[in-house]
Amino acid sequence: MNRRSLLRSSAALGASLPFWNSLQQRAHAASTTGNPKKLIFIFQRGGNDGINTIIPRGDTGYNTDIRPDIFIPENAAIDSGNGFAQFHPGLAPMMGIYNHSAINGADGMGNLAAIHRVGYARQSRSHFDSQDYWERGAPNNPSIENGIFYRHLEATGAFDRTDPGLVAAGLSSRAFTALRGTTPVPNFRRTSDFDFRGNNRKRKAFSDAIRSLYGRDLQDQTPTTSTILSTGNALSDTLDSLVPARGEYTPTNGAEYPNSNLGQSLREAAILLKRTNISIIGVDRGGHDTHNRQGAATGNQFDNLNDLALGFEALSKDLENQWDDLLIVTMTEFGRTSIQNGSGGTDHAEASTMFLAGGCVKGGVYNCDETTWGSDNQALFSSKNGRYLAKNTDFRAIFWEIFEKHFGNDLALREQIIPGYALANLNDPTGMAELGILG
Amino acid sequence: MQTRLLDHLNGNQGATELGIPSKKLPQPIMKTIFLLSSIALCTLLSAHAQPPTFEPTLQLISTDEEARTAILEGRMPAGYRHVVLEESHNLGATWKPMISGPLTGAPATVTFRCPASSTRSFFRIRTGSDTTVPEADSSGPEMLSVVYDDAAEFISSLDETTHVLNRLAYGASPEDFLHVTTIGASAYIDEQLTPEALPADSEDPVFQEAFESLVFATPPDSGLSLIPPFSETRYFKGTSEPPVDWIDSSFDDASWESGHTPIGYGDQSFPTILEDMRATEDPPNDGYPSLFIRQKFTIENLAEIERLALDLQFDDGFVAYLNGTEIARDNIEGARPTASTLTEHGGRSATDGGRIIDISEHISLLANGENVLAIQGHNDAINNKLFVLAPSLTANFATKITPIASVQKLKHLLHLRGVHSRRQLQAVLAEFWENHFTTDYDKVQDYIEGQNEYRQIRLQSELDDIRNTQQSKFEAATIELREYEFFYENALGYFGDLLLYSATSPSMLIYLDSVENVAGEPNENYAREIFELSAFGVDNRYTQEDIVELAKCFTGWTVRKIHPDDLPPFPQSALDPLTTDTTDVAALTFITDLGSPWSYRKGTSEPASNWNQPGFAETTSAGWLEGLAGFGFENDPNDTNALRNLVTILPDMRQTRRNPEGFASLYLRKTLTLPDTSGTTDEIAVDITYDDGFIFYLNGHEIDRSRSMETNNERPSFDALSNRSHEHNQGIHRVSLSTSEHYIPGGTNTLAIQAHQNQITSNDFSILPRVIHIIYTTDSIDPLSTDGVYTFRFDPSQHDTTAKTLFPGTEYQINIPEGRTGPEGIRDALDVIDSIIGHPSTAEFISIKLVNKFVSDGISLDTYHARSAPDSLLGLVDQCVQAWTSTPRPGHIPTILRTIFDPDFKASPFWSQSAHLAKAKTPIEFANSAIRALGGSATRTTRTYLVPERQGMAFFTRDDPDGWSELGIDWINTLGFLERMRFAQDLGDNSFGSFASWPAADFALLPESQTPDALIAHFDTLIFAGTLSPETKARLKTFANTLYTEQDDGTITSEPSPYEALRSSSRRARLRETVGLILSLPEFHLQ
Repeated sequence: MNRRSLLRSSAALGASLPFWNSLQQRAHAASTTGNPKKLIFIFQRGGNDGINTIIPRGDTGYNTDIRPDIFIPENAAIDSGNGFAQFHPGLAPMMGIYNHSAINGADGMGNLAAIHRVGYARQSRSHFDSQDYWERGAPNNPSIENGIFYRHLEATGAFDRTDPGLVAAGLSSRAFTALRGTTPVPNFRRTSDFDFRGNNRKRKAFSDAIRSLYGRDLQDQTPTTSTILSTGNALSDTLDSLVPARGEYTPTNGAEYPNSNLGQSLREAAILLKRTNISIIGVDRGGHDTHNRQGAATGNQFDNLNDLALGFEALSKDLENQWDDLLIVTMTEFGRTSIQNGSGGTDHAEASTMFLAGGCVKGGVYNCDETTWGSDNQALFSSKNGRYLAKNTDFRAIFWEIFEKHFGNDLALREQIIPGYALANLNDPTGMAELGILG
Repeated sequence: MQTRLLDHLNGNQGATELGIPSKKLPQPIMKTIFLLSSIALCTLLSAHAQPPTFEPTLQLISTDEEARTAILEGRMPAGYRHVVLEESHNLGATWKPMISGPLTGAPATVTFRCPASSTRSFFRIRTGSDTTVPEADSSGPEMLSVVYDDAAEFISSLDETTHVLNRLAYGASPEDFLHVTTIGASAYIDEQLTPEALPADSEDPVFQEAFESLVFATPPDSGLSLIPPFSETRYFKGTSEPPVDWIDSSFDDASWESGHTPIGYGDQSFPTILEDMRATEDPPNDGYPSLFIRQKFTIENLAEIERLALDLQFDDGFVAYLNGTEIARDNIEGARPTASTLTEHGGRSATDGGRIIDISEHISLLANGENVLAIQGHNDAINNKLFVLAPSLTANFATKITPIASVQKLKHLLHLRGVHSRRQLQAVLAEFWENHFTTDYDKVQDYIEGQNEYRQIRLQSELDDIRNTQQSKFEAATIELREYEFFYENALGYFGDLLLYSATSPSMLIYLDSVENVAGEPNENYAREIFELSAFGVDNRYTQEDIVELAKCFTGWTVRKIHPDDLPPFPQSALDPLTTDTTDVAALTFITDLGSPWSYRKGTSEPASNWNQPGFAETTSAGWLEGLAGFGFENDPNDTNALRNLVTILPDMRQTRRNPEGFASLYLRKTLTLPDTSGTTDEIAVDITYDDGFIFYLNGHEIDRSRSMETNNERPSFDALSNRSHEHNQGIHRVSLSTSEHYIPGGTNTLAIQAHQNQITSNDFSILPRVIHIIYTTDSIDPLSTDGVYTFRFDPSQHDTTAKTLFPGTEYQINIPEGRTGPEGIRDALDVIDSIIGHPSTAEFISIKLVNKFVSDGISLDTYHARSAPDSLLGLVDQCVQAWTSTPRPGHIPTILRTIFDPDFKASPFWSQSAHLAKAKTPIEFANSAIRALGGSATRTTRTYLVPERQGMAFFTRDDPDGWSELGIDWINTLGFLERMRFAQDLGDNSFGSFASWPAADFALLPESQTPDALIAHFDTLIFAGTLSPETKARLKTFANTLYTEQDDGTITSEPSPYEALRSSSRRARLRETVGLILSLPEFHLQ
């Protein structure tokens, strides 16, 4: 019996306590434990075109020859202020976080890092494989099973606390691989309607029965049965943990979440961050596989990025009080071909972009400036067949920076959280060099 | 054939000399030679063209010379399906089969106890992968015993029923459980592998009625529209009761308000919005729960009405009456509801496309003259977000194609078929293939809507826009339905047919951008995914270069629309595809070309008001002249009148300093006899080149105008200007005459045109009309027709005819020569698809997916290649890969499945104890098996709460091109569990919102439901193969015997209230709750 199931049995023994008392205890415990640092990660599924997201304007290779229908002219894009890169106009709503003098005249503490050319060696151009590699933090290594954020939580003892409450959650109908591990991390869409059917009487009877039916000893079970039982337990725990999170919610500071799946998920994320002691939240956004009609300054990619940027903006207002402890990070499985295809779209390629935002982020553009980009379209066409943007930074280097600088993890945990890190460091010192994004 | 010396015993001299008389033996063969009492053992040889990976060995264990018996032991690796021990007395010159028996293909040790007929016997074994066992003297267990490596773990015969129903079917239903226990598991497998002998779904009236309610739809605009959508209605707000006779045709509704449908609130697009219906606190408004509407319609000839359909969008419930008699209702029960009635449950989504109900049985209620459709609609709460009623009534709609109203209904079909079909394996496989070759309805719908908009030169109104959207939804759902039905019909056929159908299916052509993939501008999307997702598996023996080359092969693959009567059957539709487009002109002749005479009048003043009417006399005194088409002027010296084909020049039209008058318009008339084209696909039209705008009249009626005149008045005056400019070279505008209701076939027709400048000072003006007779190809169809269906088209003009090479340097290398022009170009991709079907990568990938689906999650392409998966699964996949090419045409699915299910020997890993109740269910497997376990039905076809979708498993609308995971374990998560348990609660309770139901009241009368113990025992046997632990049963019993009471302070206490002591209605309620809990057990996630 592992520690968590032991805890569960004791919780079951304690069931004779008045229901409300036990909830209060949980809520109390939740507010006094755990790492104060929080993370929201947003997976942009489908492979976002990084070249039109952070536009390498200073590269003469970025032109209407390679992108006749999807070229974004200089006057339609947002200037980054570094004399080389521009942003897609759809990103305008998050420029308040970027906060650069070239944009709004207020050269303050910019809290948005825009990182170009992120990927990994031997980039897979399969959606499934590449998403999997990112989420497990183990490119080209199918033998690692758990998700990268799960391993961080496990290595830092997040599941071993006396009353863990809600440690992490995926706000999606599917479970995130990045949060996958032996202890199930819950996933759900809305806190408000995540409960059993029926009136109080029926719900109570049913949930009591479920807790005891799934609460049997995990020893001598097959792995599948063990997963089923522990997922049932996680469901019972989650329903308890969500009690304080339920109820009406009005965002603060006039924050307005976009009326989209992403916007609604981010709103839920804010609720959880305010009302529970959750540490890591995963959110999905699909629709980036723009093989046709990607659009330029307007169109499909605009809609995708604008939705994201509106979400960032809303979070930055709504969670202003937690801003210094919060980090929001985006990822996508690959970028798209430098040259557009015959359908006004782009095909699967290699490196793409990430965004990091939060109180401890040193704002700015990374990997897309005069000095690091290289001359003569080296970056834009640097990979095979002159079709792909090659990576400059391995995403694991950025992840480790997050674990080390944001969560304060000891270096000794690095290999445990990101297996193969040391070897990658040896083989690819440039790719694994940290960018110094976090303060 | 290979021969290898295996072993020597006692160094007998004869052995090596003896060798293997391979030349004399027929192709398959053999193993060891053993010389009794002194010895040599020779080699084994396997039997088939592609031997299993590892070879068997044979050794002598002991001899009993007294009994003249040799005991030999063979070690059989995975993959062998029979063994024969043979004896020779003459140094291998001739052999006699002594003992034979079947093997399962699993690794095993075989022990022979063979009587030797002489003191100098040679023995060998023959073995191979053929399941036919050669004859021999003996095959009894005393002579031959086989111990499989994991023999102790084989499933017990008692559990076989549960197991085959869990895997081949969507779980056990009481009926099928009885059936399988009667005929046996192996016979059930045989039955399911040859489903033709089983009753078809359509023979089951329960299935068929529900199926028809799902797939039945009236295509918009077809048939005789009695009440069109968006028509005017009388309505009465449910703030009080309407007069009792409001439903009658004789009722006088003159005092009722009137408006157009859709009527309701919650959507700004409704023409009639009831602002006061929704109850609100701020501003204070009481609202009202119901609305009563009456729509009159006229029937001229009752005798011609044969079919009648009501298409109704509603939220949340309704009752409909025809001339005073109820004809349909949904989501509301009981006698005629009063005005204050609220529906018990939330209704449907208004975006669902509505419900279409065949009410042909009520035709007798109709009368010649005036009729009334009356509907009362009810909300589920007076403060909810939406209420709508939007009826239309259509007679004699087309029934030629199998249409489906919405994708939501199609999703329901997977449950209907999954629960009810006797051909369970076929239904399971249909889901599997649909998911394997996944496409996204949303993208298909989006594409079609775009096409329709593009083709509709001028959207007449918002209403057209809405119709367009509805038509595209209907057409996209129909495409997906046709594809799914093909996968169902061919689920147990050849993989090659499925792949070829998928590649040429309109939904795939649109979904993965084949329609965008043209010569010179290749789109790699489908080329990549046919390798990665349809056939080879990721990175399995193909390269980026192969993708680039294959993308070129697929150029020119696109879609068109066609009348269903002209639809070529599969595979002709793919192998010899249509190359013609939706509307293709076979011949075009000019009835009057340029240079022919028209009457014209300069727009210097307003012409007589009847100038465009037939019979109008064109007099010179009124300014009418005769001139030859085309008319206009061109002031640009580089672009002369002649270049523009202008014959009648109007130099005084342009206003200049020297010509201060000028004029802005020109009037044209022509009267001529035009042909009768009825009964043909021919069309009479006028092609007009113009600068800047025109309005066209046929026999006095406006039938078309240029976009540049869209915002002008109905009859612009002579000095009106077009609202934007249009150049002569910006395309020809075709005005169709013969499709107009004002056309007089075979008679005299009057054509009239008023053409306008954009500016009176403009540099040029032109109007060039040509009356044409178009003969379309015989399979042409109007692109906007609602009678057409989408199909595959190969467009040779878009095909890349350069040479291509795939799989260079492998034995599968394909060289496609350059210059395959015209229809020949189709062969490029067909050649590659042919090669893909027989390619080992395809055999591996599909075999592994099938093993995942039916046996175990424990093997993947990676672990197969690394040989790190369990041996038994490696062996099974090896066998499947062999079976893939064992048929004359590769990829025969029943042959692969027979290898997996192994009904004859029950020795494949499918039968191992570790597979029994060991694989987690996917969401659809969970839902269908829950319904089946209760003997329930999935016939509530109007419900939209589909449980797999709530767990993220949305069939037909997955965004990503890889299908949903077949690994049950991928679906184990908290949200999924909550949704499963809520569904189990809804189903157990027969809750109204559930799309499925079960006969709980009947069950309550059976002995199985009379006590908690009996109830639990019933389900333990039926679905859990008796595996429920005493603790679990005790907990279930406690639940069944406990009453929970909520105290005043909100705390909940439990007190015993024995199930058996309950009154019957309370007991039935407890029964339903307990059943919901049983279906929520940890064990029920397993199959």
